[in-house]
Amino acid sequence: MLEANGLTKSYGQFKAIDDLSLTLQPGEGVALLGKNGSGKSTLLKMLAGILKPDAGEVKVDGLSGKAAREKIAYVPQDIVLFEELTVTENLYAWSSLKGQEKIDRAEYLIRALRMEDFRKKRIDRLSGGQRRRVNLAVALMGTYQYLMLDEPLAGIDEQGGECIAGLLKDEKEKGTAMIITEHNPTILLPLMDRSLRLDGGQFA
Amino acid sequence: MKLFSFILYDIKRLFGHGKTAILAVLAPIPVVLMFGLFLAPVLADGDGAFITGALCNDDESVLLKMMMNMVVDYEVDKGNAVIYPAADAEAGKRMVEEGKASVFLYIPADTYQKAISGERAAMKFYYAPPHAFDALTFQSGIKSSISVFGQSIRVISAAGEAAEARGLSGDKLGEVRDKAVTELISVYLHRGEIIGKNGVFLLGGDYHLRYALAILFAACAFFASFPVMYLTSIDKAGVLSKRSVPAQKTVYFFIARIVSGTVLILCTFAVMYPMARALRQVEMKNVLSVLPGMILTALTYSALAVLIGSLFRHGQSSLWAGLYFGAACFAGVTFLSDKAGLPAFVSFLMRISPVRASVSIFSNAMFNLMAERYAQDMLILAVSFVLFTAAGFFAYRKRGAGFFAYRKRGAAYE
Repeated sequence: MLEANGLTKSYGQFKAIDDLSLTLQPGEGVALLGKNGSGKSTLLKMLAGILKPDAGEVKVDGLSGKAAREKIAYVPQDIVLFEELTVTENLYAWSSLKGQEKIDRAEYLIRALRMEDFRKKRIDRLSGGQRRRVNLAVALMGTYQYLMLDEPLAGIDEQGGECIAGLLKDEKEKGTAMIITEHNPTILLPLMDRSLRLDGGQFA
Repeated sequence: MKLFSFILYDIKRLFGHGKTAILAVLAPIPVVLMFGLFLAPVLADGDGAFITGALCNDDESVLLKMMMNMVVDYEVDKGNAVIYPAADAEAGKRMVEEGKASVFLYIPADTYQKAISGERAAMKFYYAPPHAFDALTFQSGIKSSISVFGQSIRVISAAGEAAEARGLSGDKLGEVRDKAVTELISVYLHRGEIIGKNGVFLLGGDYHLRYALAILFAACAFFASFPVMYLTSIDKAGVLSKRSVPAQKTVYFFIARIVSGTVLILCTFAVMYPMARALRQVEMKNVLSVLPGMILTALTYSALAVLIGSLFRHGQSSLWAGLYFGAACFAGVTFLSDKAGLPAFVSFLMRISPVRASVSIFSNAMFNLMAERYAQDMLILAVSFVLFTAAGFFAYRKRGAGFFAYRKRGAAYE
């Protein structure tokens, strides 16, 4: 179980997150909704250990620190890939980093996200939607029990959205808990067990 | 195995599917051609007193004194050197320390006899660190002279003994021997004319030509490290900051980047060395001494590039920083390294500068190896590599997703 207590984060005078607490059960899906600037990404980064909160703490299955962090996969809103490598090379390189058997997992993700047609293309030659799919695949190369996805469908067409939804459904059925931020939740919302709306740094 | 695999991916990234590597290999060619066509002839035509030395000869041998006098007189007459006599070893050292002479040569008693009899004959050289190049020129010139002269005298002596055994009279033998020795010195002194050189001290602008070539060598290697700076900055601001890379795996990034940077810089050397050979008759046998210098220089410059890249979040900023830093270092080495009377701090910086050490290694190892200086420069590069690596690793992880970033950003779990 992931537990966050009293998370607070300010940027100068602006309080992005104000004393928030939440729990996430194994296999549970939570949609994090809210308008631009409501603090969704900030909260997700703090839960994933990418951003330090001003106050509060996060525990994962009773663990904190490095051990807790290794149980979480984070999909950033920005496309963060090795632009000079191909899709397959990106997945293999990240598998080297994450100590994973590269071929099985990479091939599974390539199929699941329907990337066969452009797997040998360099990242800097892909369309926005294709890059978004690779961005997700790279995050899923590791071993994890919790998934933090920051707008995984941004710039993705209907077909791409469906294959991402299919993949996340499979992950959830395997027991992976996830929190998703999304402006347009029509595709992913049905997969989620509950939704939370952020407004002014607090749950509405 | 995972690390090795990641290094290969990083090499592929850095090489930009071969484009960056080709650029790194080809970029020095026009620079060296420009150098060879325009700058080298100017340098090679230069004349004037390039060496200011001091000499103390305690050897009473007539032949050695005669040879030294002839060599020194010849070089002074040609305007290639200014040589001051030193009363004793202490006085000579003082002249070097006070900046009156770049280098001091002390010839102990019985040096010539020892050399002739096959014993180890050691002469002592003293030089101020900023005058390492002068010292090399002076030392190699004298060493070569004594070596060739000593061997030739032995040949003349052997020939004389053979002639005596066949009945040549003592007077006639002495006359022939004196003539042969004079002829020997004359031929030796003028031997450089055959290949366009002037004297025995590797003289004329050749000294400056070698120095300039070594600077060019090191500068091309440094500029080849720019892609390393750029990509390191990009990775720090991107992958390492925005993805949750396992803390211990940032080590993979770091090691892979230093190794791939080293490979890229070595690509530049791959073309520089043949170019240097073409320009200034670098002998193949020197490969053995140049190669370790190349590898250590590439490692050091790669670690330096990773350090510079790690200090900036924007690729362009790291490139500007690298350009200014490199320009300052190479300008310092070019214009200050042979100057006496520098402020102590500048002098110290020049002494420990890895850029100066790499220039010195190429100048030294490509043309005529002075082992003591080579070892000293290699040591400076090795220490610099360790320091740059340690500082680079600290900076690399500080804003990445490693331990320091975790402390800074990941305290949610603490």
